[in-house]
Amino acid sequence: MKTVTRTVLVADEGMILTDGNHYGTDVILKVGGNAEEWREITKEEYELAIAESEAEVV
Amino acid sequence: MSVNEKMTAIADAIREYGDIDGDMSLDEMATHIPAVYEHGYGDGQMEGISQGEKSGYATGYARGKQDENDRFWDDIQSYGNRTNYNDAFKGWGAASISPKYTITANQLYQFIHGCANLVTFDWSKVIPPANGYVSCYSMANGDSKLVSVDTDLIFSTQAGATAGQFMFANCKSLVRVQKIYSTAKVQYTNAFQNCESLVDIEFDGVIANDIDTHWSPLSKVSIESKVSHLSDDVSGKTATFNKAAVLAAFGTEEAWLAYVASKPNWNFVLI
Repeated sequence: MKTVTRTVLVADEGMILTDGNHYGTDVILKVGGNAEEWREITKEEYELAIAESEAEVV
Repeated sequence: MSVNEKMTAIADAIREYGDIDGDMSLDEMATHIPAVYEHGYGDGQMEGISQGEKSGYATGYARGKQDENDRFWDDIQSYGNRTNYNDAFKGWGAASISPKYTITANQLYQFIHGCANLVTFDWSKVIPPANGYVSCYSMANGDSKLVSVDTDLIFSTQAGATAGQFMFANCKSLVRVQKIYSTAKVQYTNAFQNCESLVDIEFDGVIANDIDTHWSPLSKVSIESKVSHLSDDVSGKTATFNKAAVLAAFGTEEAWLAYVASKPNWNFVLI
């Protein structure tokens, strides 16, 4: 029998996880994924990052 | 009828429709008989005007409108021979667009980009090309009122990385996308940005790049469609979902974790 383990990251209250490109409160990493690639930022930082991303669309 | 009776009948007609009353001589009858024709002509004109004003108006209006509509689309679509629809309706102000001819272009690059008032498009006229679309880049990008995309967006194997980018960005009223048939090269960067009403979308083919629908309260069927078409041949790509929609569909985060176990090569993000 093979047991597959996946790392699940959950952000603290009021915080958002990011790897620099993606943002979320709950992250299921791929099998073998590196949790150290993710860090927490504040919601304010997240909203600023999203606003900059969306501004590129116009 | 005697000759006298015939002459009297002619004189009566002249008296009724002509411009003389009372007794008249044969010479006077000859002089005034053209007035009978003129009177009839005048009455005919009045009747024609009356028909135009009444029963003829609605018919005339409808025909004039249709003729002008036909001329418009004949020009826009080159009598059905147009093949390049890049930017075709970009920035149009209409609430609905209903082309006269079918659209069989091989790309829909900025097809209805920036149509701020657009609510409905007659998708029955959009026929996917046999080999699929090369690009749908920024196809409907813009803060439109578009509710539904009722055609299959089938990407070609020739579709490049940008083919899916910004496809529906800022389509805040969009509820349904019939189907996206994806190929491995296609990227979906900002494709669903601010699609805050999108519930129903079917995926087919292979999704092999990051795809973010976190703005959208997708149905369970739509979430499952997206997950099931994530490529098994890539590693470390990220699929992002709306957390509330996932919890509504799967009940718990544990159930969600169990469901995505079939895609161990992907990162799954909720927000």
